[in-house]
Amino acid sequence: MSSRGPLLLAENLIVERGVSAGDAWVTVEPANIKTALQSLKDDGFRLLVFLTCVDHLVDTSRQWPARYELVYELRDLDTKEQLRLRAFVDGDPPHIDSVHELFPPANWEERETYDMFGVVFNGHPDLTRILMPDDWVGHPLRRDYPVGGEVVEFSEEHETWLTPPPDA
Amino acid sequence: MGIEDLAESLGQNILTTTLGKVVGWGRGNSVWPAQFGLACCAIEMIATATAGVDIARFGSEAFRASPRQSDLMIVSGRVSQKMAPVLRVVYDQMPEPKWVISMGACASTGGVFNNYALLQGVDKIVPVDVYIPGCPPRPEDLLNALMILQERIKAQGILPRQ
Repeated sequence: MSSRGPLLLAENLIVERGVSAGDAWVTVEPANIKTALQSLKDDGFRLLVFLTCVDHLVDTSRQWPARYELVYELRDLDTKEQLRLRAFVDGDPPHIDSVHELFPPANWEERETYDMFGVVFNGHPDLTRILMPDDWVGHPLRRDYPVGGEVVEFSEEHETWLTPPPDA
Repeated sequence: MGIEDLAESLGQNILTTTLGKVVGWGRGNSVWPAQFGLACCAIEMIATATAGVDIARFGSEAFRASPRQSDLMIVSGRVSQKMAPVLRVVYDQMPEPKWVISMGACASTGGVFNNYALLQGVDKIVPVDVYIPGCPPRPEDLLNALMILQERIKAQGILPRQ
């Protein structure tokens, strides 16, 4: 279903747009994320459904603009439309503006994204780990983080289990 | 009433046994679990408390909310790295004698989740008396484990735990 969302955003904010599996998405620059979300929220997309991140470290199926792709799913509660915003960030650690003032639930979702991927959200009031213990080292959902756990005896895969995937 | 009648009436009304057997019988038949349901196995643990599969008829009438009033900790569910110190603190708060049943595959060995987030078996932090395999084990499996534990408690008597 084509969403009116991409039509609402100012053209200078949109880097790319498309539809995948019936979901409309729009790519924006990470520096414009707050402006884009503010304008979409003013036009009716009041609900932040989720905020997550994709790590494209080993995915060579296409040329990704950056390693970390932040995904914001917005929903218009009146027209029941959903729109996905994508922002590609790079860095060690990658930075992007926090949107917790626009969407209060983003507070915890940004903490989770920080905990799992290491993305630092500028302006976040309390960016601490939320799923892992506070003194955990590393960001578990990055592609170069091993699966972890224990070596299972007599299993054939235990050598590949605990080592990161080879660089593509 | 003659001496024979007195002896006979006494014989019918007095039991002799050992202190160990009495203590073991008392402890074993009144094992009160602490509420420690963590994940899906907790649902099966709740099911054992329902009328169809009644755990109360085995003595576990009250699932106490406070560890200080319970003698059994049924660890039912996944134990995450963040929950592990909490579990240990709750275990330490239970008064002796205390027992632990590790219910389900995740509590026993980490289950299907062999990863960074979960403790691979609760016996890494607390001593376990009975393990129950299953994902989740049926309520009757938990009753079976409780019965096994009761046998052990009665056999132990008044000896201190090692």
